[in-house]
Amino acid sequence: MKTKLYLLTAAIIVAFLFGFMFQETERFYYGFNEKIPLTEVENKLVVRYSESVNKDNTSSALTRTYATVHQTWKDNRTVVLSTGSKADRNVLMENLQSAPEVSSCQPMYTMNTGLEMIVTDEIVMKFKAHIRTEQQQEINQKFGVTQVKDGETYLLLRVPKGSDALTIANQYQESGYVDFSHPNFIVKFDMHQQVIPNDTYFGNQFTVHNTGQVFNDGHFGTPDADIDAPEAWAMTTGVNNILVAVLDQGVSPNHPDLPNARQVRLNGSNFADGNPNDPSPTGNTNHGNACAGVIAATQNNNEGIAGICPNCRIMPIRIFDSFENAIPETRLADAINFARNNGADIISNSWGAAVANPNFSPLIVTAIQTATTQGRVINGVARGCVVLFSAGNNPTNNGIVHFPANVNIPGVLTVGASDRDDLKSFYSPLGNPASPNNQLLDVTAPSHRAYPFQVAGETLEAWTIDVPNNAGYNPWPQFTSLGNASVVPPAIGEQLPNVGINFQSYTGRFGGTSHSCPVVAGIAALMLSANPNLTQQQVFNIITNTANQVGGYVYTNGRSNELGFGRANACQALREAFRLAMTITNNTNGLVCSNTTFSLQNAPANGGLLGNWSSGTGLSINNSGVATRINNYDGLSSISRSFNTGCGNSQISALIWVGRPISSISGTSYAYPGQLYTYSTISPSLNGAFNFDWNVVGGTIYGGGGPSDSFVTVFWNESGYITLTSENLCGTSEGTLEVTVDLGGGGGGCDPCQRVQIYPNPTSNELTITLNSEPSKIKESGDIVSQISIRDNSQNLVYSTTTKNSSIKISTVDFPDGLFYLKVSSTLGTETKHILIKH
Amino acid sequence: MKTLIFGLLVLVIFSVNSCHDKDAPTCATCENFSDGYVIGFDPCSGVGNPNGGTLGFAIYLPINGDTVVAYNFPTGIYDFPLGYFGNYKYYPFFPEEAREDFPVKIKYRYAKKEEFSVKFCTGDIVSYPLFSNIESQIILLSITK
Repeated sequence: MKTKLYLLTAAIIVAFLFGFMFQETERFYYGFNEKIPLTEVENKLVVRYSESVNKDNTSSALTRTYATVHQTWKDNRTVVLSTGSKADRNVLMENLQSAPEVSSCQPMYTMNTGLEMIVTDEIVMKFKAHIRTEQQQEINQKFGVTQVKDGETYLLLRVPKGSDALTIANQYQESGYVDFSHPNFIVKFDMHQQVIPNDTYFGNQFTVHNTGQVFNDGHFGTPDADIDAPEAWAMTTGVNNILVAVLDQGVSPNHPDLPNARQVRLNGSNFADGNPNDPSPTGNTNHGNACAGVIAATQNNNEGIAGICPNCRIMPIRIFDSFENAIPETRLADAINFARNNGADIISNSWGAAVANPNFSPLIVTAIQTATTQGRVINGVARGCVVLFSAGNNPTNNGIVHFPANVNIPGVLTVGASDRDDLKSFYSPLGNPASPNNQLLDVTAPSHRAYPFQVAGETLEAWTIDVPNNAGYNPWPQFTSLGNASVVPPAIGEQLPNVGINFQSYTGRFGGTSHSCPVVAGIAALMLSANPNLTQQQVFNIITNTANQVGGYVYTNGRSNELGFGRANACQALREAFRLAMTITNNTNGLVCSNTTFSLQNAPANGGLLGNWSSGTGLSINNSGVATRINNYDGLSSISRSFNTGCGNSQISALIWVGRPISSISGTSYAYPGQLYTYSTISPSLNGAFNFDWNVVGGTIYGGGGPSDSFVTVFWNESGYITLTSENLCGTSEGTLEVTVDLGGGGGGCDPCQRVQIYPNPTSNELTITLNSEPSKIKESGDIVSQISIRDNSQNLVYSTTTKNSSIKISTVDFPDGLFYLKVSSTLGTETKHILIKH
Repeated sequence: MKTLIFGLLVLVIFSVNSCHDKDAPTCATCENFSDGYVIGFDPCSGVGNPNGGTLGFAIYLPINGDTVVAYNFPTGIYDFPLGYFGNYKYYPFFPEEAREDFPVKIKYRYAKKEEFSVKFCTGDIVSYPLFSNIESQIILLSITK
């Protein structure tokens, strides 16, 4: 019985302790009565001052006391401090909490979305209606809070110094006296980073902005089954010098939504019938307009549609005659060459034939190949025209990729179609990786779902421009009784649109992979507007890598048979193009001696997308980009700025050298006479060093060692040392390496006897170290045991191990960006190397 | 000599017979005769002017159930109603009820490789394999109603 009682008591104690522990670790706030979980950020704390402070003075004081702590000021009473670890944070919290000027010191919390929820010394709440004023005062007194503001629908209260606002807010809620109570969080609500243009029919353009709206024939799709164009437009709507050639049926001059000012109508651009200098369509042939409009229709003009790259220019090239006959293959090749030779950055091709053989026409294949390899010359370097082809429309759901979309040319984009729900369009080809005919889709973009004979009630439904003052595609001729012209067109064939300015100049009856191809061409045009230096292969890689893997299909190695690498995403692709274009610079090539102003080059004009600056070790940086050296730090650091878009954030970072160069010398410290040994110091490209003074005692300089050399080759005669003085704009530093020379004669034939190789260097996630020992030495010594250590810039040991293996891999995922020093020691000598980590 | 003449005769008979051999329908040197019906058209070969002479037509051959395509269909044989071409972007065939409205008697041979014609098309039109299949393409040698 006693034992039972003992066990029961123990169980209660354990349960109590566990309950206490869970109570301690589970944090939440109340959204009315709903508990909303919060996650504690282990290395951050929020300091709230009792009164407004002078940020510069307070920041400097914090820096002096806590040099390694990073500060992010939220307002003139609140700063978020970031430390290296939870332990550091707790010590800091304890210290700051007792400071008289500090009102509260709280951990940083986040929502499960990652949104930072900053708790200060304030809560907001509302008493239930029946709680009388006297009762309210009594309750407030019990909690020790003071009222800061009566906001009619809420009370703003300040909690006592040192108390936890989150706990008090929850206690209010749990008291049952309040409608709501929660901390007065400081939350950064990002602007919804998108641009919604005012064009008349934009609401129908589900392909670029799908909100689930009803557009044609009562159809509606899945919200966000689109290319995220409005989010992309917040970054750029393109630039005028990006030229997209549209090889098609021609484009109407001075279309109300595509003026001649944004067309490049060249003599000789009509390869079909009629005036060779006039690339206008004839009759109702609207396919060229339709494609061009998707790419570049004017945006925000209260009329028509919104093109994807509305500031870019179109070069119409006519390759179909008045009767919709394609021109002969030789002329098609001429047309592609014409586009390349006349400065087309992008060649959009919504045409092809249902032929599976990718070499069907060597003539056309060669013209495409030439465009991708010799086109778009920038500063004498061919970046290659970005060439896109529609994959073709098939009568069956498992049809083939057509020629030329299936050509085996790197970087040519084969564009299929997805529908309003992010599913494969019925007619769009089904890829077949086993086919010898390159039956692969690269990417898809939204278009219509199916043709009427494939799925009842479906027809073309994408919006674009039409032939002005002519039927064109408006109305789309469609007949209930196939072929019977006397039958009145049904609802899905009605005039569409039939209202709005110049409504005949627009149509809602475009589709097929014909529509998808210019969608992706428009995305490519936005990307080149942001970053004209991208090669055509880079454009291909970015578009395919940033595509959304939607539809629930099987993606093997990133690719599905239905949608290729996925449905294209303009925002993601453009964000990546900008990320690659942007650089952080100052006027001293990145060097910081005391303070200097950094700026972000090639950034989008919308400054609202650019977030805070942040800095690494030995530096602070304010919101104007002014970086200040801290505590005379010498070494590698970094500067970053966030780039926040409607489809995610990127970090633009640069490695920055702070202060004087470090004259560390890497190379073997155990040498043999009669051999040449090379020693080097940190690359001048990192630390800005421009003057070196090498001095060798005990050996002879054989190569390098000059004032501009960051290396020296030495022929050792006896034990000695190397000294180095390096100079950059911030000053000079000195370094020494002592070298023991083995005069016993045992070292002949190896230089050094253990060669250390590291790769890749710089690296991000993993470093491989190979130890290639001289075979004769292994024979002499048996297993060679190597001691490996890595130290950071401050000589703190961050990694060490011993090994008999000739190769080891080290994870550097958790290493911060920066310069590290590798040292390998064994009976065969000691060798040091510099390692650069850059994530 | 007699043997040679006999041999040549056998060869000629074999060759003529082979033109009617269903196992070798694409003999490009053989002349064929057949009744048929015009039932459709290649939408990528000049649908903007259906009776203008460039359009390829699909001809159904009841004798073997095949459908062949001829791009040298002469003008004036029939004046096809324009309405039959209205849905050309996805349906290149005449209405069911009109499938026997345009009978023809044709003398033809299959297209040689160098004569094979594929029409490139805008990417909003459904491309039927019939129009890019060398085994379906014929050269009309004569045609009557």
